[in-house]
Amino acid sequence: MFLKPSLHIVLGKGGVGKTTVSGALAVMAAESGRDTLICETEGKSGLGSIFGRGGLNFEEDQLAKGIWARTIWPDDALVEYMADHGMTRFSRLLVKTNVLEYVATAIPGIKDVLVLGKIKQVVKGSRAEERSYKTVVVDAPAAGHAITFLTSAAGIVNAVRVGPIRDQALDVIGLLESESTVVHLVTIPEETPVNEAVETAEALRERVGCRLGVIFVNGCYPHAAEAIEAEEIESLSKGLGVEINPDLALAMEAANEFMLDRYALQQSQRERLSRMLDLPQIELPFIFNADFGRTELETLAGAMADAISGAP
Amino acid sequence: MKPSDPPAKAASAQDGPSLEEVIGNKRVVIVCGSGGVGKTTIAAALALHGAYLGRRTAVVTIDPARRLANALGLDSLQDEAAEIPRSVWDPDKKAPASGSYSAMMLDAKATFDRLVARYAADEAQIRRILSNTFYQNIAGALSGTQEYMAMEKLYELDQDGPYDLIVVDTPPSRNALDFLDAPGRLSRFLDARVFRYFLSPTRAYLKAVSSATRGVLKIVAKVIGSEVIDDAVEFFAAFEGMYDGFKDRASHVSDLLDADDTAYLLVASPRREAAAEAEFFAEKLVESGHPIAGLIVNRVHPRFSDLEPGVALGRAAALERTDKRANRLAILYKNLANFDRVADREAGNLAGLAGKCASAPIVLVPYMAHDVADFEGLDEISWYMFPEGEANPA
Repeated sequence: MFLKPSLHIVLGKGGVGKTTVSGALAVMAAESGRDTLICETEGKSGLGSIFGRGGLNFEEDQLAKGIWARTIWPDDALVEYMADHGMTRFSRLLVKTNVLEYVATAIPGIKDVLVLGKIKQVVKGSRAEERSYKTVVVDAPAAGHAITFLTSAAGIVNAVRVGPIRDQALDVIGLLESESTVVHLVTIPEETPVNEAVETAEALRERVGCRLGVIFVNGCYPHAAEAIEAEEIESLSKGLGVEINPDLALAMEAANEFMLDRYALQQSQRERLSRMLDLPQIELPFIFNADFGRTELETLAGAMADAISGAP
Repeated sequence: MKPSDPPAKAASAQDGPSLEEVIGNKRVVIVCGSGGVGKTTIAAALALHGAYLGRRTAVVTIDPARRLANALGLDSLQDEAAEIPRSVWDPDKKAPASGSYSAMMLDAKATFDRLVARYAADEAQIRRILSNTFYQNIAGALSGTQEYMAMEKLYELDQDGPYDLIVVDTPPSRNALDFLDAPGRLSRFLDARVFRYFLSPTRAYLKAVSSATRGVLKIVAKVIGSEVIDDAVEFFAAFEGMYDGFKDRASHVSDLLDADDTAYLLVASPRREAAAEAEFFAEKLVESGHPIAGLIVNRVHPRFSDLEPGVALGRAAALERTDKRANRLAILYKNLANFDRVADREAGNLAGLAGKCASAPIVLVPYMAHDVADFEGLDEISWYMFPEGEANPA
């Protein structure tokens, strides 16, 4: 079943709603009784504000019943890793002297491996001071960087022959290839985002031995009414004894036409997506409400749960 | 109102030059904003308007979607701006003869290689540097390299290119000002005092590096393997003598970014997170002394009616479930309310942003029913940005 894996990595390009999808996935998991942690990797997530909180930190922060969140940064992950290995003073120097920047340049991908290494530890619940979770959701860096984020460990194993960094990278590969890890994609039903999702999926299949779960198609308009002209709206209203002015009828015609155009475009992109990518599509509705907060996130989580239980 | 009509301009206390004047008069236009807002498309459309105003225009794109790249004649990365035939960008022959449109897709690595070649003493030094793994990582993967190379390319085009107007797209970055700061950051990176310890471990150099730092490097070598450090040391050895040239160049690039003839345009989308990011971006730009010359909000939902969405929803609820015709009307009311609510939500998201762009013109580009992937589409966008301009489609 969908929630069986303990690690869900959510990938998508900027602007497709990756963070809200990660949040909804966490709400869905928490509602099924799983303690869930959301790991944010870019340091600018609006997740806190959806739950009426401020920004997230490296330390775990409870957002709601069953839901915790934290930001995982390479620098923090490194300092903690060193401290856990009895090298606190050294790790501070490493960050302070900016040597990490040179090391990161010498070995591209080392920062991603530090982040994923920390995520592995969180998933395993192996750090005594920290909570352990049934489900961990990673709101991964935006596409472009998403592929390098997941391929970096393999690159390090090729570049570094010995030592703890190599071991860490091997651990990360083990995590990504594990049965209990799954990678989901997020897109919106538009041409460029669909293309990018397909490219990301292909690159991951070629270069990372991870399991792909589903593709979330976010921001889908509901099934539209049929086309109707303003005059017909007026006579329809009059027939029902409802007052309507011609301007309003025109506005209703235009809004309906807009919906029909968007819906047609959306369906053609979804068909294209299903031709190009053999992953279950999980349709998530466009949220029309004035604000986006807890209630809306729960709506999304509900739609997600329904779509997943109905998916093949 | 039909969605194909230009949306009303957002209220702004505009007293600076209009967007038309910015594109008509400035020499360099830097298009910034967060990822996923359609920056590249907007940059290409702004450049098209420049060409229509009779200016010799070049647009530097970073990572255009494939079909847009094809439309711009960019089938692969290329280090040179290529002129697009007039018949392609101006099929109706409306632009003055002086206008031209050139486009390029940034190849950060090739731009960096060229920069190395420019400052190296001889062929041997070029070869030593280009073949070094550490250099290849800097050119390919160092955060900030792409930002710097976009600005370096801009400087090259400004110095050597036959252009009146250069429009530059900026790479999507985690930090708002990565591209402004990039020249300085790369200079600091290349001025690697820590590595001088390895280059020339004499007493004089030892002073430049604290003993703590030396200790760090020794341990690093143990942890990640000494060949990695050797590579870096070899790079800095090969780079010796070039640093001053690079630093000098970077300061010229910085000067261009600060020049009066350079304008910054901010692209945002009205989604909540995107608007919040744009607000942050705007603050940082203003703080760093780079005022925003215009705000372009892309993919705005139109507001279709004056009716309160709550009232429309109430009418829908009253009509629902009575009979088939009533239901049909209810759906139409609900749909109208839905889109008007989205329009209101977006206006709310943008309120704070408009305040941050005090005197700058603000234009809204509507959510298009199709992807923009050709010059016709770019022309349509530029019609929304410059409603009084000469580029109006029929």
